[in-house]
Amino acid sequence: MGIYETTYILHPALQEGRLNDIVNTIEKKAVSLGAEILYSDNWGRKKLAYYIDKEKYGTYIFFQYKLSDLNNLKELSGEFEHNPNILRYLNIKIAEQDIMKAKVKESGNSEKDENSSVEEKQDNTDTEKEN
Amino acid sequence: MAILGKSKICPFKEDPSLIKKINYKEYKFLKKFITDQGKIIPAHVTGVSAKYQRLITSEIKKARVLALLPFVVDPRNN
Repeated sequence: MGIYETTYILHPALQEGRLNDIVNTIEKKAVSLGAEILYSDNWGRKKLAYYIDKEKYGTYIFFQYKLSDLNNLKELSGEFEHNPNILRYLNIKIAEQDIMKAKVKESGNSEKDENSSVEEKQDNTDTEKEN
Repeated sequence: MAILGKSKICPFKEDPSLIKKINYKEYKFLKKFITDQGKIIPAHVTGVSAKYQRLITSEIKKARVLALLPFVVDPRNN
């Protein structure tokens, strides 16, 4: 029993519809393995710090979930491992206070997503000023 | 990148709100603690205390796996 978060990088050539399909199938797979999804987010297309499978860019997807059985996490990792559209993934166990609380963003339209990305950018500029 | 001043005072003890930012998701903040070549800057240079240097190191390594931060940067390519 524990709370985990997973970030994975999707292939840059995927169109938006196809990309959403893959994200949905992965979430369904996680739910079928007994996971309760607490938060999910699309970080958008980013430039990779180094080439992965000869690709320069990737779309980052992030989600947090509660899992009761560690063996199910292994099975989920197998899913990431064998999906050719996923370049890289990282599972991390987190504490309860690390759960993100912006569930409104998740169910929002594309407009809301744009707003959230703008907010993130503003956050970043603020941090640069502070330092 | 930029080294946090020359003072030997730990930046996280001066401003405890920065501690939350030691996270692989805040990779832009962690860039302050790596060199142009991508190496982790030793604590005795940045003045970070041992407790937070351990955290920074592990978070930088997580960010490297996700290609948010580089493992190595060859200066000849820039």
